[in-house]
Amino acid sequence: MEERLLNLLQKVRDDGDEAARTELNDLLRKHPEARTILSRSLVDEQALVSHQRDESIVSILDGAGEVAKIQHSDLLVIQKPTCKTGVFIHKVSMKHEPRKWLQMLLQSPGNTSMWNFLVTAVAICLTSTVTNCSAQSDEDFFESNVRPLLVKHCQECHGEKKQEGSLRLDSRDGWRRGGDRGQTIHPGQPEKSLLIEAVKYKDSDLEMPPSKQLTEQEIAVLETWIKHGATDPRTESTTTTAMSVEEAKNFWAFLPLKLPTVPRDADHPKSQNPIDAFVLAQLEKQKLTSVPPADRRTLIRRATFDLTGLPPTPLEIGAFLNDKSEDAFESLVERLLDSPAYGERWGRHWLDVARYADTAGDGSDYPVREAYKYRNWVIDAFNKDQPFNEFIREQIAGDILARDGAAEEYANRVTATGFLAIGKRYGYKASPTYQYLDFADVIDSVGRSMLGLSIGCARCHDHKYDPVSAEDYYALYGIMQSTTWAFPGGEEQKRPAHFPPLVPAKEAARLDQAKQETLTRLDREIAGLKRERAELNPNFLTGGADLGLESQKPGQPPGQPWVSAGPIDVTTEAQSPFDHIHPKGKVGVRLGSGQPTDGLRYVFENGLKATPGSQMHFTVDFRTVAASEQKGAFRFYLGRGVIQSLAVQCSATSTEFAIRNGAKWETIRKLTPGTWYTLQLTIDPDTKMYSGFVGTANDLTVFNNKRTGANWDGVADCFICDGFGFVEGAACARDIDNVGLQSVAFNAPGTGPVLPRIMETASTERLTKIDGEINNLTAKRQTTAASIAYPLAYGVTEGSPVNARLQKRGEPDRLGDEVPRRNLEVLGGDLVAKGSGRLDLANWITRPSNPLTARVFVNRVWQWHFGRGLVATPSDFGTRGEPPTHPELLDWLAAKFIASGWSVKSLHRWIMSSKTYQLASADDQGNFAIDPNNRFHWRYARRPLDAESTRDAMLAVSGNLDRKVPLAHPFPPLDTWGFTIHNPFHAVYDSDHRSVYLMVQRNQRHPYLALFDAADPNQSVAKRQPTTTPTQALFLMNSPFVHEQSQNFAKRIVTVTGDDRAKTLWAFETAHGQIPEEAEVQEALNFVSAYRQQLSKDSSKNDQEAAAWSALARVLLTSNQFLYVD
Amino acid sequence: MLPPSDETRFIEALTRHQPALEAFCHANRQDAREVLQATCVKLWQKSVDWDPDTEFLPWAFTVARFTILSHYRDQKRDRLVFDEDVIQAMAGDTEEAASAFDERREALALCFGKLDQLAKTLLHDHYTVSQSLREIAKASGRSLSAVKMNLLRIRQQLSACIEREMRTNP
Repeated sequence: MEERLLNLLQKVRDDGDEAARTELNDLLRKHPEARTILSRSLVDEQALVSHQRDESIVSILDGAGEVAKIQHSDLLVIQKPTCKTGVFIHKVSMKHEPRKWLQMLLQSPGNTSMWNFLVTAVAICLTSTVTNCSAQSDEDFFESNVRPLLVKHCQECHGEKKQEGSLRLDSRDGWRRGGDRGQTIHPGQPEKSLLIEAVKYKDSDLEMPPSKQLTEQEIAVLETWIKHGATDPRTESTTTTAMSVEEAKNFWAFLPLKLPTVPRDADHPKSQNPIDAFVLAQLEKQKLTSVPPADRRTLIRRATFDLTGLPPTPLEIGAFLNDKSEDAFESLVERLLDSPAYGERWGRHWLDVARYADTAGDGSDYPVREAYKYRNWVIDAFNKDQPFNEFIREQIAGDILARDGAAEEYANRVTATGFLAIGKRYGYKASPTYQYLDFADVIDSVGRSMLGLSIGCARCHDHKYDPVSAEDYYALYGIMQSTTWAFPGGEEQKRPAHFPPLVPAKEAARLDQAKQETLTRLDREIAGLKRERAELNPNFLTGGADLGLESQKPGQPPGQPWVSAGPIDVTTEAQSPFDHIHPKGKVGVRLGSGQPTDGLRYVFENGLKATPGSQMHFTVDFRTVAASEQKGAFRFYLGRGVIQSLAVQCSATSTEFAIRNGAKWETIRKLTPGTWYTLQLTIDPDTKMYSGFVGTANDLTVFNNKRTGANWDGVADCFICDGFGFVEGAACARDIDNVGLQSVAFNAPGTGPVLPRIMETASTERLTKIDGEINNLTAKRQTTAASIAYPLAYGVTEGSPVNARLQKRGEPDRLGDEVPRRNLEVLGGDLVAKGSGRLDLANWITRPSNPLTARVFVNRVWQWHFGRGLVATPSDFGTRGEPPTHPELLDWLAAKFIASGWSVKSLHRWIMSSKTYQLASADDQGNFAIDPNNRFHWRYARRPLDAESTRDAMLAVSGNLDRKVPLAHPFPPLDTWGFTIHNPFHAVYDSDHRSVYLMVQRNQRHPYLALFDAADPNQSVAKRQPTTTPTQALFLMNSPFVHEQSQNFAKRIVTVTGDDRAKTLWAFETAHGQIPEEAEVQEALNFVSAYRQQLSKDSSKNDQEAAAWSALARVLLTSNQFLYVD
Repeated sequence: MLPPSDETRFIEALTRHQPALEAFCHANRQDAREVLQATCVKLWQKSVDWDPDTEFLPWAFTVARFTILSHYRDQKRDRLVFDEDVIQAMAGDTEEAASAFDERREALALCFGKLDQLAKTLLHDHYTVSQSLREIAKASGRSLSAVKMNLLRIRQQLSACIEREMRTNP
């Protein structure tokens, strides 16, 4: 019974279940025991609530210290009321009359538990036997009540580990600083304190703690605490996590660069390469011994892939092996550095760091046709060993340098600024709205790639670890904002804009003007020819009296040059009987009754313009087809454009004809349905008056001195017949013929007939010639209009100098103070002199006193040679990055690098001529135990070929590799671009060029490149993360690409002179650079024979020889000896 | 109004018997607080009628009954659980149970202590923190009906226990 009652009760309370309610009430009516049971249950429920409440009150009061609980009903009698609240109430109640106090209580609405708490507290105080309450000290109150509360509920997010909203609640100094929203606690004023607002959940944006609101008692504690001055004995610990600019002065990465002394002693002879000296010093320290040097075959394969990303051919290997001179390896290195393949390989390394892509990313991923120019510029820069500091400066401020530099360098320098523009780009149109996202990428990329500092972290707050402040970030932001950025195209604005020209501004302006002049000239010529043609053709008057009507096909609406809408046909039935205007023709136009907007339009190509003293003459023949049910009127309009400037209007129903005189319609005469009428108007633009007549030959109605449209501007080039007549309603059907407009008077009706004029032969010939010329010139004009006056780059140019305002939490609508454009404080804090500041920025980054740039790049070069940098975090030289394993070596290389004139090829020479570089990749258990990651270079680390090298190597070996440098990608033509987020750009272009020239798409990556862990173009990539996955293996086994390369490789193998053995050895050497062991050779020979035999059984296979060797080729191209470099 | 000493006694009595009053007013959970408030206001206004030497609760219950009924007449809402006549019928039983509130309360305290921790937590969340059963279900990942059943069982347990206590230790 009880269960049933409680169930029903719950259904009513929680679900509002009407059926349950009825059932429950019925039960209670019928059964007295139900009433007893339920009453007790309800009372018990209250007891439970009350019990729970008291427990929580106790726990609050418990915190106060000394509480002695004596349960007296649900009263708690405290012997020593130590809780501040209790004392407070106690004091109040002693002051005021108990009656007033109770009144206060009774007036506090709805907040039952709070009320109960107060009630209980009053009861406590009133029944308390203690008259003198010792005031608890503020500190005690804090310690007992506030501190545990803060620890429990607040400090996880607002303490040492995390400072959400930049607020700390773990010390007085902490909360005194306030947070992102300002001051958090106003001592003495809880109602003004943001902390109280937050815990009371007053602002839906600020509900603290976010997971669960504090209880009312807890909130009361905080309020009391603040009300009494927010005593807080906790002082801040001295450890703060972020490094200050002061402290940075002692951090290794910021120490000024000095050339360290090379360790020289008996173990380190003077003749030794300094790199080896430094490495050896460390090896000794770590108790490691280097392995023997690599053999020559290994060395040439390693060096060739390292510098060019291609395998050495057997010829090249042979030449190196036979070169007995001392500097054989140095010569090899020089040969490789001279090869254009070097720039293609090492340029690609930089493109990783530069987050290069051929598309703009974001939703629609618009292609950037000019991006390849930046790519090729990078490759060229490496090939010609452009000083690295210039390389950097041009990428930051190339356009500015170009302006003041040599003319032949102009295009290159502007192209270089592609570094800034080719990041991931946001925005649906070329507007500043989403630029802050572009800048976030640029600032972060510049920081990481060039300085090894994660400046991007300071977008929302001071860097948590490094000496980079949010002001620093916005100092750079201003520089970016003072720049004009090429816009690649977006969902709203589907065309690129603001692409800088690759010719100087003056030249660009000149070329623009020349193009414009050409266009204007062509337009003029075409117009002149058209006019001549109009004059030659006797069947053309002004716009052509015939207006091309006779040549229209009957049975369908008239086509060009007429425009029609609605029910309308060319028909022989609409041929006017009048012949005083044109020779009698065969067809006219019949307009059916339709919408008012339906009708007929003709635009006179050579319309009439008002000339002082001249008049305009217009004529049209018409009739209403039959007595019509439609009461409405059609109209004739003559004026400029499609009702742009109205000259005259005439209108007719099937029975009445009216003209517009100024602002009013005037009925002129009656009409008989089915009768043809002719209308002529003589218009005088000087006086804005017109006259005319309408009727048949024998029955003309003349009208004079009528006003044209008051605002008519004197141009008549458009005739319209539609349904907006002087009477509302659907216009009747009507026939139209013989429309004419000219500057001389027409013949009067009754005169004539006008005979068709015959053209002289000479005129006909001239006409044909003119038509031909018009076509030529029109085509020429189109080509000229579509042509690009000068080449463009995807880059940046100077904009208007402006300082940025700090964006709080990185939100562009929460602006703080303006920040002047300047250098990072830790790097000098220099202010921008003039212009956007990019030239200054370029100089700050590359000046010799900058401790980072050279170190960062030198470390990258080391990493690209060895697989691992001296600093293992190549884009993070901050406090969270790894310190260098060989700090002196790093500094030595950096200093030498600068001294050499920032020559990258010099770095290669130093590094590759070292013994360290030339070590074998052999294993050594002892060394491995101490230094398994080879951090100290006891050997050369074997590495997998990266994506580009793998593909290039296969193409090279198969003979398919096209070494030509391709230019633009075959993107779809510009006028078809309509990419949106639902219809983004996507393409994969096949080619046999080197992989660095593949189209790199941002959003949907090239399938091969993605599979083999090429750099993700969405961010600056310092180090690729090679994976070994089954899908790669499947690609190697099954892809058409690998099969094709194998087949072509096989074709080459087949042409090798000699027997199978010779072919096999050649194949191995070409693919692996090694001569295999005899056992391997045998295995291969057996394999090929067996394969051949198998194939011969299947007589349908042609070229079985190549097929057999293809099989071996597939094995060679997909084995580890091919895919890895020792 | 009352002479000061009487007044103090009234206040004492009123505050002391709050829970019992609340229990009595708890015919309809939704309105209980308002009804209780209205009752207390009424009691205060009529405080002169109470003889401090007599029992407080029976007098208070009378006032409460009238307040509840007039409250219902004033605002007939569809969230009421009980019909008017049912309330009248139940009044006697409610009074009786509410009178024994203090004893039941003490028994409850003992019985509560015998519950396991999970049960205590559930009761705490629902009755002290005022989380709805739906919220509790969501937070614990159990289904709503499972939580409902659980609560029901616990209350039945407590009920039975209280009855036992009342009988054995009156």
